[in-house]
Amino acid sequence: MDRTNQQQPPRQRDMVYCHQCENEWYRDEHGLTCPECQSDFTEIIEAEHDPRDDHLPDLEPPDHDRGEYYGTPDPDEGDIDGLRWQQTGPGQVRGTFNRTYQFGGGQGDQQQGQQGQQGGGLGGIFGGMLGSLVQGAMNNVAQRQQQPGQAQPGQEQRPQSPEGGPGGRAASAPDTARAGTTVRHYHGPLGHMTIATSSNVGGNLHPRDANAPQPFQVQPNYIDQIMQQMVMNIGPGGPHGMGGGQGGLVFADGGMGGGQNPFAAGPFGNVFSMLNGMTGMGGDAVFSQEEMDRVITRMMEENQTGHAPGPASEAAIRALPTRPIEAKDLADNGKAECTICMDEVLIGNSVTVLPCSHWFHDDCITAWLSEHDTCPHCRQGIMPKDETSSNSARQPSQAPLNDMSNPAQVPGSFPGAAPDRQETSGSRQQPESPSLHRRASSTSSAGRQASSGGRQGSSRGGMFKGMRDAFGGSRNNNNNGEGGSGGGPGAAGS
Amino acid sequence: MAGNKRIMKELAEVRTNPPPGCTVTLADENDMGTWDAVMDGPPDSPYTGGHYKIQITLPKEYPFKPPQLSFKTKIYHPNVSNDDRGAMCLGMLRPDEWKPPNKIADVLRLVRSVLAAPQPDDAVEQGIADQFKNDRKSFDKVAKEWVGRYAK
Repeated sequence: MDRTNQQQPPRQRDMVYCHQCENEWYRDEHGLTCPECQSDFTEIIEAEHDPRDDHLPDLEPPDHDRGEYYGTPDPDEGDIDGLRWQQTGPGQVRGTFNRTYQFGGGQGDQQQGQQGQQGGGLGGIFGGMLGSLVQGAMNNVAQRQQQPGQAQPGQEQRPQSPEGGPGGRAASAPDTARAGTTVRHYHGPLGHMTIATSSNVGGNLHPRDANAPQPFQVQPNYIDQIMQQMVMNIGPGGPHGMGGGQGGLVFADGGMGGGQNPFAAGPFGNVFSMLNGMTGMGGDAVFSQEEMDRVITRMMEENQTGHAPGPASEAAIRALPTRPIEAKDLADNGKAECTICMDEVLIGNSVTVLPCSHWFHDDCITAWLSEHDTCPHCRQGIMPKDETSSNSARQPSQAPLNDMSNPAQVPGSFPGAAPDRQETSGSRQQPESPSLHRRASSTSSAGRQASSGGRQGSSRGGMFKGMRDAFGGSRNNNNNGEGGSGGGPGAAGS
Repeated sequence: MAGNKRIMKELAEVRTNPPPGCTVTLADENDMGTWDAVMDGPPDSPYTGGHYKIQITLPKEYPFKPPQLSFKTKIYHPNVSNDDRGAMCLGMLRPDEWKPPNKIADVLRLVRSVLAAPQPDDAVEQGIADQFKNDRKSFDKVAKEWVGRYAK
């Protein structure tokens, strides 16, 4: 679901309600069968006939200016000071209230992007939510403060027609007044909102201006508390009974993102949409089981190496000896094949030999070792101990220190083994010169790097490039002289 | 790509000399990456008489990355997920267990052996696994029912 979906006015779309599991969805997305429980005991929600116990507000926007939500009980009403609605023009309502909380920074970016589709009501409720969460989290004393509307100094002014700009993007311009009081103004096409907040914190918390460059600030520790509190606040017994006392993640049932969210139709719809937009796809905060599964699956895929060894270093791979295939390598049927590519190898073909004495085509084993420091047959690693321990601290992404069963076969112990290497795949365009032959000494690898980088670059695609890039940094750090960005040889697939 | 060449070789091999009880075709002759295998239920198992369509998806990194299996025919088995994915959890196919020398034919052989001998301790369907362990009779009964219902 892309985010543009979320911005569609929900009112033209049929919503369907499942009597079985109380799920709700858009008909044009999932049809009449419940996507959640597969039940067909469902009903299209109509304005006159709403099967749900707790009515969500009508899909039509309120036709009176103050908004349907004006005067509805707010669970945190006691916390809200000076909530005032003013009609400022045709179709325009301005909601104003003041809050005091201890929290000064980090909110600006979240508040941006809010769209004032619902007129004043939206802004007010959004603000209410924000306010109450902050209030709840901070448990502070409210402080009444009169708001002078758009006349705040330092406020980012936007040109405004009565209808607002087409973009309808809210402007958030925190304005630091004396004593840590921040006044924020929101302007949608149909609504305005001002939130004045007082920060009681000295020290390192300052209002954050999302619109201007600023020095790095430490994120407040209690941001998770705040998020938690927010969910609590919007959960049980909101103005419209949403959540029905389930508390917690009320929007968990509705599926994630965009038009799917049944609450998009309600006054919180845009808030949820925005939250979804902030946290949903691609983020790491989720509010539905389905989404959770998806994230877990993705994480497992991304980290699927588990406790398997990471890649072998380029130097270690290059240091592997090669040898020609001999008659004794052939199987009983007189043939032999590289078990990675299943290509037949003939007597005299050069293969790369691992410390465990299993052999493969050079390209094949290089591609494998660049992802996994194991022999494809017996899983023994090729990384010698001194390769990693002689350098600086090991990185998490670095290959483990695998013991070599045969210490004699450390890199460099095969000075004569390489010269008769042959091209096995024909894909190499730049033969290695004798001086570039495999050696373990990392100090001499700089020149080789250029050469090998070149050949690899031309012969191999970027199959594992992302992974390589991710590993590249640490590997380079740990193998002095291994230069080259992640795009270096080794890791390329075939 | 070396992988493609290998896939072609494997396909030829598996077609001329298929693993027991299996026939393999390409889902689309132009796409080497998706194989359709039909596996007969192993004899002496409740699945005998059933024909199971298994889709094998070879990643483009194959053989460096493991293939993925999906039972397209529903099967009542502790190790096959009872959903539209029909995933089978095979250790061999786990990314950290996979080795390039493994072949699809080996995978199919393993699948068939798991059909013949479910591994309830490594189950994806815990309920079925419990039944398999504690009430083998009922398990066999349901499994046979499913063969008749889905796998004929």
